[in-house]
Amino acid sequence: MTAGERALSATLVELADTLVSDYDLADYLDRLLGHAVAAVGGAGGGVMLAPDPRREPVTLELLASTDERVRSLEVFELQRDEGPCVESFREGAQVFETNLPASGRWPLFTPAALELGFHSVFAFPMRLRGQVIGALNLFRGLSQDVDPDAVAMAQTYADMATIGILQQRAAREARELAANLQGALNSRVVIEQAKGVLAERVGYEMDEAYQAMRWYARHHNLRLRDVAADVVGGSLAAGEFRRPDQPAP
Amino acid sequence: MDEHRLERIYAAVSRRDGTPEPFHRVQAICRACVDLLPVTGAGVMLMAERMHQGTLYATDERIQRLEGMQNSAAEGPCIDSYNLGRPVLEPDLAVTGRRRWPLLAQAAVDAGIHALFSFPLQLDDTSVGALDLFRDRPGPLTREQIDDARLLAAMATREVLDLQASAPSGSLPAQIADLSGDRVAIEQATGMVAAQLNSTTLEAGQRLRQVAAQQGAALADVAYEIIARKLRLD
Repeated sequence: MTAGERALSATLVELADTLVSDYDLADYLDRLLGHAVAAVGGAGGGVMLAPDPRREPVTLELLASTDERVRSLEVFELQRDEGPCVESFREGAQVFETNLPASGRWPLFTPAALELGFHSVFAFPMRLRGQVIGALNLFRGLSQDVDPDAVAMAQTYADMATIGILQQRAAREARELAANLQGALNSRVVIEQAKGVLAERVGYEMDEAYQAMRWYARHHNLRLRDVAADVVGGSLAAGEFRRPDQPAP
Repeated sequence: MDEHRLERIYAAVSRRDGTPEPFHRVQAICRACVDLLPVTGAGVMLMAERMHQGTLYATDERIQRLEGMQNSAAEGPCIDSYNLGRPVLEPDLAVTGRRRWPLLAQAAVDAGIHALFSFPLQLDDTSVGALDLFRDRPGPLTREQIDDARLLAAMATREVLDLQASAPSGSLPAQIADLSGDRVAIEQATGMVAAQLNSTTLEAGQRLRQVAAQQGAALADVAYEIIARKLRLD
């Protein structure tokens, strides 16, 4: 097993662990980025992500970078909306330029990259099935190609970053759904309890109590469940619920 | 993750229902429990605020009655599994179960439930409910069967969340939107008693259960009396 293959295996094992426990996404991306840079003998790299690909216009954010040099270049790329990373994200394809000094490809990005000492760039799309969520960008000081094995390994690291991010998003969505469910289940109980409180304090029938709370909620632009919670919690007095046109029972 | 177990369980669930719709999948998961495991019935309960909030689906109406019993007794394996975030297994309610849940065990045995296994529907450190399995005679689950049940509970969790995702924001899916009539009465009576005693609803609920136990009556029956203003607790 080569050193590169060992690193890949180790990261795969790490991934298996992170899939079952909470982890720091930024930390994970940093490690993957470091491995990808090493795989191509690079001088630095960055990871860009589209936080919400469904929203128009699609915006990219810089999520990780190996150093300040790369960070400033990637930010520049985003601000000018021009460069290999941006193109890789848009095309959903690998975008390589092995000879930046001789290239006329990105009139704004290229001079900035050369100024920082980067002579070749390799941008890898972060995609899973049809979905492109970002791009991983690698920079080298030399104007030189990278061998196919190294390219394959770097793409694998980009793929692992994709899986990690999508995993975390799914987990966050699941947590939100669970919280919504718990909240909605609890609301039913609180609303019935509040009816009882008003039935006792004001002398309402249960349905009258419900209507009174609905009226109050609409009138004060509140959610019914919040009104009910306040009734049960005691912060809303029963007297508040008599409508102006309603006589006391 | 044991891939063979995964395949076997998925196959069992698919045999029970081919459609990907979440509620049907919950039904299929419950039926697959009865197919695969030595249990008489299975059900998925939803829970919030340390209480049963409803039965999403059960293969046997004794599961629903179990929910009512646990709410009345304010104790039970499903409540425990939900609060502890791990399976609660009781292979013999009449003997060892009696020590763990003195109020619940008798009511359950009277209803023909002799063993109960509750697996929380777990998401990280929160729980949204439980997959409950019961036997009409005592007896344990094997290690293998427990692992199968854990996987089925994980699948049920996924389907419950998918079901919630299908409901408009802030509300419940149609299948769990309505509280049972008894449950409505109990909560309304709790509110009335809280107002009568000038107490919290927690204290009011405890008082209600106390009165029901003293009278040897069902909690719901006492609740109906209170709502009809035939009984006051102050």
